[in-house]
Amino acid sequence: MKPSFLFAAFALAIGAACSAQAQNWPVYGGDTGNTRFSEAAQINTSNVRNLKVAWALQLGTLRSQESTPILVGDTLYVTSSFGPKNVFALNAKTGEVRWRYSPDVPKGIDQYACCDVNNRGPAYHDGKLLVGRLDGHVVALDARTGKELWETKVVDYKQGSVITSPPTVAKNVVITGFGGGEYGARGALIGLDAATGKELWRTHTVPAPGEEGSETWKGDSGKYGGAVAWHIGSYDPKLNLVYYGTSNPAPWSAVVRGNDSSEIGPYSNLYSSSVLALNPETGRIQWHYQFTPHDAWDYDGVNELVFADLPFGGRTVPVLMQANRNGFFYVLDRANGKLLSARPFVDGVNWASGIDMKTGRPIEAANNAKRPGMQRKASDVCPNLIGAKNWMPMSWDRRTGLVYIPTINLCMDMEGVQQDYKRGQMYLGVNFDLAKQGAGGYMGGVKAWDPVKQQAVWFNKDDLFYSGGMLSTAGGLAFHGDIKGWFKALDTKTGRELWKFNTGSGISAAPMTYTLDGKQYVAVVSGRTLSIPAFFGPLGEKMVDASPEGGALFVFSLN
Amino acid sequence: MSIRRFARRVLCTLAAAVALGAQAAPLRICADPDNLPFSKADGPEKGLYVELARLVGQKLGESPEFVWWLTYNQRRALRNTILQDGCDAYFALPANADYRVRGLVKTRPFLDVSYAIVAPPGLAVGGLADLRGKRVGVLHGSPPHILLAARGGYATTSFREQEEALAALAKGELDAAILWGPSVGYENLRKQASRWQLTPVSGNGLDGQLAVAVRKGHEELAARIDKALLELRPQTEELARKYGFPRGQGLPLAARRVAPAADARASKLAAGLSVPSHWAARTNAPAASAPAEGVLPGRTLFNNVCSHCHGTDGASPVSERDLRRLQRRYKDEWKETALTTIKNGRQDAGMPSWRATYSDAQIDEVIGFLATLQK
Repeated sequence: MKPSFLFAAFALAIGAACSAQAQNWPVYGGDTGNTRFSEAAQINTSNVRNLKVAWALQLGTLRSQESTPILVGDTLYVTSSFGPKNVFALNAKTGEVRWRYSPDVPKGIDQYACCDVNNRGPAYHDGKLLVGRLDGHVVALDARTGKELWETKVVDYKQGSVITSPPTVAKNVVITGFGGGEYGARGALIGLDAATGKELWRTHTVPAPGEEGSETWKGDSGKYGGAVAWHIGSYDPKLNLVYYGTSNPAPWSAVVRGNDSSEIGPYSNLYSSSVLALNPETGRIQWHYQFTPHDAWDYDGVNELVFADLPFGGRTVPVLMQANRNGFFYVLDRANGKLLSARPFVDGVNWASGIDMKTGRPIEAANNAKRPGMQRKASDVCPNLIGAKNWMPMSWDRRTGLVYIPTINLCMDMEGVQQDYKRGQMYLGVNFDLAKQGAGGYMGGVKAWDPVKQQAVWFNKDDLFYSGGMLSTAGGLAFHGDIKGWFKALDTKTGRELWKFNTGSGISAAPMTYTLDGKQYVAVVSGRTLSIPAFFGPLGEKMVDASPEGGALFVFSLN
Repeated sequence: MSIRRFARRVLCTLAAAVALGAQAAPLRICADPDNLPFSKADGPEKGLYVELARLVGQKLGESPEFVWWLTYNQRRALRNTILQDGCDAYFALPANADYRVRGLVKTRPFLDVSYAIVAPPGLAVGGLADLRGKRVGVLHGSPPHILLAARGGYATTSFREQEEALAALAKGELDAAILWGPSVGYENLRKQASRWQLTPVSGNGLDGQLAVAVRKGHEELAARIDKALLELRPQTEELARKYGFPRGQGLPLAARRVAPAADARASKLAAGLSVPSHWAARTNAPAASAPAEGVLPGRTLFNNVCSHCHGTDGASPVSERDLRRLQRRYKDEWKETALTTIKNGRQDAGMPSWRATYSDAQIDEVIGFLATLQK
């Protein structure tokens, strides 16, 4: 197909680029600490108004595009939704397709997939492009040709489990989680040998009976406890630790797994709604911290864990930060998991008044007033189960000292008594009303947050929520998209909008930037979400109506 | 609309107009292709829904065409099939008035289903108390699992699959199990020579009824299917027996939850009668829930909706939002001001406009409630 001299040029390009680059974008989060920050300053506050489309690519699917492309050498790699249906390798300067990989995704997989059919992008390691798939497989492709090198089944999609996030590569181990806790899976993180795809270790996020931590589950409820790690991991090569957040416990009905009240006792349901620090070679859990013990609100702890070096107690501490679904912004020492600070990063958080710094536990509202339970309705609980921030990632800008967070301002009524019926049984579903705007007349927006002082610096309120992930640059800019399809550049100091472009479909994916031959590009994938609005009744319709379906990659530059 | 679909519509219209003797138009039925005893696409036995749908089709003079979608996730299945006009009727949904799906209307219930106690013959179970001290198997996360956990003092083992639970029962690792009646009944009858004694149960989440759903706007079809199902009651029972569904009065293991009285609209929808569209639109708005607290009309709606900015019973510490001060602030015009503000909102102050969400009558009730609060 391709003459061999092109291969050689390819390899040379990759090699040359790697050695010449100060920092580009080789991984989902910009770096393995997920800071989503670039030193590139060619595009900056004084010239961003001249930003225009350099090239665009149609991804070949519509709906729920969540991919962040990565750059290796001068090749940009991006995935589409539905499988992914397509993985593209592109000339990052021109957009020309170098190769395309379209896996044979089982027909009808949409019926099994617990949630949406999204894919957040590929990972790269040592000449291999790594992709997690909806059918529960991880595949390694030759980065030059797109040929399959190995394929490993990680989890059975027929159980409703899917992979939607890129794996995390640490040393020579490819680490992935999976999603779909609803069907009673016990969550796990799996380490594969990068060269062969062979499974090296499998660490469950819920301890087996008899293991340490299993006593935090009532009866045998830990057997199928959920706590899946479906999102993005972070990796610290110095500490040799990989970090993942876990989702809520299963089943939703807390009375099965514990006391169904804020008197949690021993039944905190480890390690659901937690952050885990694991050794990448053995998969052993080194430390954990639980954000929401004995969760009853669906407050997944999966949001990305962002690295920073922050001043605490007179010294500079390597930390990880998380803007949790539950409304609190956590800062932990990433060497040992010690809680350094935790404060609400959105207004109106009422399920807990704060986090006790001594115990690390939330101080829940009295008398279970905001804790839904068996025949106990909780009204106007803020934030709602979508969270004060959902999966769309924040960025950390060490120059301004600020984190830029896409926030959500919704509350909910929650009670569990709706009868539902699906194959194999009737079950009690959660009855909830999510269409409750939080106080203040806005539904979300990008907030600049000082993680040391734990306070907001500026806040762009939005009338609709679910805006996209963030990118910040040394050019003084923060880039993000919104549900109406606008891709915007903001001044990181003030939040003022300096430039925008409508991509034609809602954006939730996070942008990235790269520089080649002295020219800086900014790239974002557009294509609106579907699964979340489906819950939301009339509000969901507003979200869906905000833009048509789509699926395209847009790359911008100054000239 | 595709040519094919348009042509089918035309055929359906013709068929309806000409009635008997005309070309029978296909009635598209949505069902799960792998859900015996309810439905199966391939194999010798097609399931209760498939056989019943064929009988319904016969009565309607239309031949059923099946559209298959696995129901791992009920709502998703609905979105991908009937709500996209992928089929005309969905077999089947909980008839329960609480179970509402935007865009669908349901027939009256046509089948009772429930969980069932599965035990060796001779085990006398007259109530939940008889299971104390017994090793009981349940399906993970199922209502029996939740019930026994909530009551406390039961030795339960949970299983992901019915097969695992039955195997444990056969091995003597369990004394009884509470499993999904239709599935275990079918298995018991077909594959286990009726080895186990099955006792249907009743109580919140343990039993329910099923109804057929059609898209809103097709109430006439719903009524015709409803009528056919009514006439087919004896055949439905016969099919239930054929497929091993446990029959009979359910043994009450728990109280039944009383549906909120305020749901007259919902039960009308469930009955398949046409409902004025502005009613239907409101069922998804933050609604007044069961009037458990307070007898004052308007108070429940206020405390469900308005209180998170204005405080419970209007007592906000923020003076601008303190609704007990309305009369002092606006004097004789306070009710009018309240009405205008509730309807139009106050953008700059963060007060939403409620005119599109609540009726005049509902807003009047809230104002009536506010009147009782004035200082």
